Amino acid sequence: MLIFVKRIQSMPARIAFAILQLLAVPVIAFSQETELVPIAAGQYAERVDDLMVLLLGVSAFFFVLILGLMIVFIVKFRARKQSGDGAPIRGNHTLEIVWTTIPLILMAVLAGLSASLIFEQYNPPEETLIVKVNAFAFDWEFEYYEAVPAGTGFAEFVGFICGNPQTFVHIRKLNVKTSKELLIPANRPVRFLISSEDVLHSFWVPEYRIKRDAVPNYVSDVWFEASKLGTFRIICAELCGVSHSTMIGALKVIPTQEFDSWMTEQLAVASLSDNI
Amino acid sequence: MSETSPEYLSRSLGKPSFLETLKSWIFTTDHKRIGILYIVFAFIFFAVGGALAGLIRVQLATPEGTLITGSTFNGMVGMHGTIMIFLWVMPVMTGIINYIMPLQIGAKDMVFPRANSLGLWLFIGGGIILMMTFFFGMPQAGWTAYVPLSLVKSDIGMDIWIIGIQLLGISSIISGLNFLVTIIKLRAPGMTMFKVPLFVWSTMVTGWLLVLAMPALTVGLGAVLLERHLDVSFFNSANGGDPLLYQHLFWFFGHPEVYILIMPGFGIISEIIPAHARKPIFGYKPMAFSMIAIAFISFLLWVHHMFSSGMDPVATIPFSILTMIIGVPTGIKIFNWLATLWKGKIHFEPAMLFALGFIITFTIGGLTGVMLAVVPVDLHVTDTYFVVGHMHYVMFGGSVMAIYGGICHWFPKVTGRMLTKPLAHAHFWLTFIGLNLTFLPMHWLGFFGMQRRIDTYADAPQFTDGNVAATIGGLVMGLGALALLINIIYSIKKGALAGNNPWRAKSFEWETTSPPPPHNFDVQPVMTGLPYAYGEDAAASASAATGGSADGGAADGSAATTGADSETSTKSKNAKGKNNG
Repeated sequence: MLIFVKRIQSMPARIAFAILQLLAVPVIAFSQETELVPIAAGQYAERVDDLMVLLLGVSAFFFVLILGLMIVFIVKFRARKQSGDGAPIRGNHTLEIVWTTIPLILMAVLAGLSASLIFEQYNPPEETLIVKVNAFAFDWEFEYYEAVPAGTGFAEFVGFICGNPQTFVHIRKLNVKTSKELLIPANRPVRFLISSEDVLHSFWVPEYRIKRDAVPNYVSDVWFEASKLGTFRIICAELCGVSHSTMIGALKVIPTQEFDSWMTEQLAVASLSDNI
Repeated sequence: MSETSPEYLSRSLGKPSFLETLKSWIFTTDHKRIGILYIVFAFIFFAVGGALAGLIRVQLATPEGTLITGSTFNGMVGMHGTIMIFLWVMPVMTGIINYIMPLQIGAKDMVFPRANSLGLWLFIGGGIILMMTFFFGMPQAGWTAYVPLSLVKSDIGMDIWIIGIQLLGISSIISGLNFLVTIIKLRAPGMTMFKVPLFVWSTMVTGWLLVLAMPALTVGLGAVLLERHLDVSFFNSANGGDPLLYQHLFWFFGHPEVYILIMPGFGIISEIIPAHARKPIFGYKPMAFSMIAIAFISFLLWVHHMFSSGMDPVATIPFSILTMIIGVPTGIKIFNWLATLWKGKIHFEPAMLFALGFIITFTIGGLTGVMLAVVPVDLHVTDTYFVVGHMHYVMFGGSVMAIYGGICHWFPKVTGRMLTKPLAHAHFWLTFIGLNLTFLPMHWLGFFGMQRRIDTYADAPQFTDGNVAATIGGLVMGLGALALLINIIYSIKKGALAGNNPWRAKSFEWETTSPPPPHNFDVQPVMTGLPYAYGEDAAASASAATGGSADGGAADGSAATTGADSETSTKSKNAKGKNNG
């Protein structure tokens, strides 16, 4: 919890977050001992956190305002005797306009921030490592592809595309496949093409702050650039059957050279078995 | 009204036999009895749904939980949601509406009493069918019944579930139509649409939502049933169907459904606060129009449940904006309730405590709702415990708090006796503390990486403490519900006599006896002034007596702050005291 606060830059946001934390005293009490917050493992994740902190700040402001007004009113205007009525006030146009417009303006700002982050993440970079994520009850399988420049290679059919079809450029299969565990290099964008072989699943890496459903015969498209090394959980977030809870994979972010040598090794093994 | 004759006979001929009483209740078309039956059955189902919640919480109190696992757990999660939505909040709200709304508009009954009875028995029948799943196997796809998981043919519980839900859907459509026509046709003389209590407005809006939203569910589940048994392919992508189509159909129902559940709650709170703050509702028309606006917009934002479904991110933007916009009329309601408290004379009756608690907890639910509207944040926390926490703040901190408040408010009218205060206070505090202890940590759990609908988190033991807090909170809430049950059983026989109008409230239901006679009113009430006329008759007579000296804001403010002598600070206040004393 405290770790999370330390990462927040602006002072008002820190105060706002601290106030919100007070609402969950029991949570704070234990969270100081354990490292609960998933780290933000890349620039996009940090941007999402910034947005979250802003939202928490705005929410804390309104919550404290509403709670504060309520407490003041119920203390100040509490009935002291059984008799008597309050002032027969039926409304106020100015006030109605004020508390309609201010939230509207705030919502417009939030919508703008939200949309700008969506657009920023909309088009994946041209040069990415591509991983096809196959979800099935109750495990994960990962196939590696590489992007080839448009016009030079051939498009490989992977399924009906959800998401942004324009960005779906030419790819080439690498004949490298892993299960349960996914290795990716740090500081290089990775595109995930997520699909399912049976029911709905959802590909979620909390440290990346991304989640996309795996839909059978459809491909969901999402990309990310990891900045931190480590092993993270790949969680299935969509109810998929009896062992949904334990459908957890591992995502290992390793240094680029290490990844490249691993990939070369895997490709050699693949071509060897092809020749046989 | 043939059903009333046994009761009249019994009044003249002495105590009816048990069988006669039973028959008169089963075949009743009296809106008050139907309302009571709705509420009683809803409470029975609430106990079942609560027991499921308790078992789920016990299972999750330890990371490795071994109490209930796998398909039993998944079935229980789905049944908990189904029961709480379709067999608890919806019918208990329908029951309260059934009892109160015709009284509030000065009507003798609903406009279609027999259809009303049909709706009740379809609800009870649908509820019993859903209970069958406990014996034949619980459906495995959660309350949302997403395809393709709900297409698994071996899952017989899913067939039973669909049939039960279809009956409940028909019941709801019938109720919705009945509400609408009753309000349009049966209002008392002089009661124009802008003179009805806001609870009636909320019923009107709920009626529209029921009639327009439920068919989408009926169609979606009908298609699932066809696909399960007739090899048609609406949703199976291998045969050219589209799994996302189901989600669109479901949430086109599912989002307005959220407002079906909360809308009557808005109405209940709008009745409680003016009555116990002794003030007219602040901004009647903005309150009515904000409900209409919420209902209208609620049909335009179903896709916010599907941001992570893989759809084009650009397509999410309009739904994200509309989701934020629906927060504006909701905010208007919160601020108007607060403004109603301003310069009131607030009595902390149990109903008022629940209304004040509602404002706090519903605000939290609303604010986290705005967070979920922001697509990048939603993509991280959707399908996690964050959403579970948010949704329970809206459903429990909103709807159920309002239901509890409504029960405290109208119990004297329905039974003729007052609830016992110490028990009612225990009920409120246990509920309020318990619900925050349960649902607040869930937000953190979700943001930190705990996905929803899981029976174990053995690989992430850092979530233990938050789950333990939630489990303890659940127990506390359960004790709160127990306090309510004990209070009702005790007070229905031993409570103090209420009289016609214990709260000195102004709407029509308080003008008749408690409980009201079968025909509701001996004299047809007529609406002469404005609704929520708190303090106004006194002010009018005072101004007549003193030559119209209006009490200024400063005088009023100082009177309130200086304490006990507020009654004598101005002449108009003096008159008010006399008038009400």
